[in-house]
Amino acid sequence: MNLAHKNTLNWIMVTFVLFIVLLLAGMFMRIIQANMFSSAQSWFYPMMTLHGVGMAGLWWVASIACASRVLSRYTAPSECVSRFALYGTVLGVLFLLASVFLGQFAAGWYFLYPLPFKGGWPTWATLSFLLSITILGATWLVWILDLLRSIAKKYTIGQALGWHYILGKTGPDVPPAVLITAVSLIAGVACLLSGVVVLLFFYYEMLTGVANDALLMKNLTFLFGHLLVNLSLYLAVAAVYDVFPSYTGRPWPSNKIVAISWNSVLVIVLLAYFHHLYMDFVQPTYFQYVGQIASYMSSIPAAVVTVFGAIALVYRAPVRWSLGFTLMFFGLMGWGIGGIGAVIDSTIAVNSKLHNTLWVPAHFHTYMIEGLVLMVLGYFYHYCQEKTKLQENLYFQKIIAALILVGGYGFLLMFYLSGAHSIPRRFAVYPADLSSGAQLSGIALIFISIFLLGLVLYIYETGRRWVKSLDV
Amino acid sequence: MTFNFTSLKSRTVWIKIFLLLTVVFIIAPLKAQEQEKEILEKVSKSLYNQVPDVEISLPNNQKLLLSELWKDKPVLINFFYRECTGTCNPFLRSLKTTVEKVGGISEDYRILSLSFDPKDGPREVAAMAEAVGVEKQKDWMFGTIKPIDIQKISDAIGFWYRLDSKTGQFDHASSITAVRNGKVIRVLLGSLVTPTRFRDMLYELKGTFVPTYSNPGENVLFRCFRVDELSKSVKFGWGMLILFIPGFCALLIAGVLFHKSSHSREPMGLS
Repeated sequence: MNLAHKNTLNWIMVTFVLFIVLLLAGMFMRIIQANMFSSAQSWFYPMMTLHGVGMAGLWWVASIACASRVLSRYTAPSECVSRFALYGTVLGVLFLLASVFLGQFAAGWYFLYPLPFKGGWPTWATLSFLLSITILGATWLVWILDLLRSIAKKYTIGQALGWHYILGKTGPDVPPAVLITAVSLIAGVACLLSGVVVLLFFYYEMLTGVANDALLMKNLTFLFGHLLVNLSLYLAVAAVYDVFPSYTGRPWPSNKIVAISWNSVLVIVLLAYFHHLYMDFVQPTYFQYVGQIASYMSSIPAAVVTVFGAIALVYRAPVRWSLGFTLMFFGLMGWGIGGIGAVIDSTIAVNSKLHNTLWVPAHFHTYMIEGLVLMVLGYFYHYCQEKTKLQENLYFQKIIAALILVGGYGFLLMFYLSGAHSIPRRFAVYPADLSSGAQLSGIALIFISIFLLGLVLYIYETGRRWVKSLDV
Repeated sequence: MTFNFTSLKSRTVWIKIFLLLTVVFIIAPLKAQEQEKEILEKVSKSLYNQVPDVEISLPNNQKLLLSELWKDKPVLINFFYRECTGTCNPFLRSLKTTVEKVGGISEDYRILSLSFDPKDGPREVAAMAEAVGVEKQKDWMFGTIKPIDIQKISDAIGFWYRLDSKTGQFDHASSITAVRNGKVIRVLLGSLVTPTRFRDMLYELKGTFVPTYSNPGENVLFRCFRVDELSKSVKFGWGMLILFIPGFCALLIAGVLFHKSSHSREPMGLS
């Protein structure tokens, strides 16, 4: 077995294991909110931290793994670096697990300053958490720099970013996957560097006791966090761009529109994070306007061009709706649906009403669980299927996809309804006057169980191919 | 004199220096953070606690219940003891200065200064009021309570004290607890009562939402901007520039990577 194949299989296995664990952590939170296991409510916030950091990090590495595999069709990324990234990720996760399970660290997934220093957990738990993020960030930075290097070995920066298309030229042909990955990786360097800066400030305060500027820390944290989640989506979209033509029999080439939309993403995505600071009254007002405009401009071109392109590609095409393609197609649509929710939420007038309600988890879970997750799972299935060519039972696969979609959207609907009822987010237990929050959590649990069943069946279906591909 | 880095003696010196640096730069700051965290936890736990309705003795021997004080307006409760050679006197003077500056006493709130030293009686608390200069201030009362009630009320509002048997002095917190309808609404910690924090507390007592922003103070590496309190003008700090550094560095790194790879790149050519 070659190293590239082995690395991909390892990433798939790590994703499956961690996804189940982290999904159970999320399910635990909804159980607590449904007043079903109140004796364990002190674990709500540590689980929220694990679930949040874990899911954001997991789908980031999973989407890089997809992009890396796609890139290897056109360039030559280092498989040793990919292996190094795997080890670094596992080590970082171990530190994270120690801080959460042994130290009950519970500062949430974006560890907003100064909370890591102010919670009731021991200082070593904070240190373990920060070390975890440091290891993960450093490892991922090396990884994405290597991927960028592999692109640079074949393309000029102008070619990689499709500038020749913008200038009206038609060649050389640059696959959209390369263009989107190049955009995402350059922005990814900015993302991880902002993480480095914020971590340095945390360590500086830890060692010297000198306080940091909370506003600066929050800006840097969200520059890091917002980019991480958005770029995970873009990298998964790159894989979808690459795989779709093999199912539809129609090409999906780069062109002027694709190049303009993704180049605009590179510039504007760096400014969109300001929408996370609408509640921060000390942030200058014009930054808030920049946040709203950039949020509209960064999401609409890429999402509209991609979703429209995907529908045009599928329309009346002789598509074989296998599990892989179905999940990737609905993943793109989920990205679009969640994106609409995100654009609504990035509107200042709306955000001031919805910011602290469950509307916010509703929209980000939409583009994560029904967008990014489906695209990555679809790609993983596609990869294993391509390697093994096992016979597909499309009826069984449709049931799996239906379970995942019904379970996922049902779960999300409970979040949206809670948001509409002003149920606050980040409440472990709801007081009597917000009892509808507990009821909706209970209903959400039913849908999560359906989703989980679909996921287990998906893992069975993909796992069979994974095991068989070990011999390839 | 020469210093041999490899000798046993010099190695011992290096180990000692290393241990000293570890204590100074790592353990000591962590320890200080733990203590600060402990105090904050104690205070935050007392928020919205019910304050016990205990009996108070005033210097004129008048007795009244705490609930009689909070029934029509909020009460700011603080503790002291007459023999204190530490923070009690400066703390109360700081409170007096701030009250004069901010105003609102009698109309919006009362102040109750209670002695937690069982040795203090009406004469001692009256002397303290006189020493601070508020003996004639309407709605600022000094009083004593029974020792058993001191413990009850301390537990409810997160106040703590400990007798040092060597000096005969109490080690204790300096705090003001804002009580509305018998519930703890806010606790101000520290012996210096600043008008800004005091005003925030009064707003909160009125039920007005007080957005708070942790002021990083002067000793900060970078800040986003600085606001001049008098002119209200805003000046951007180096922190704002730091926000652009990741994006700028990413473009620079990408540029360097692509440029460095140009000599080994396969020619593709534009059609």
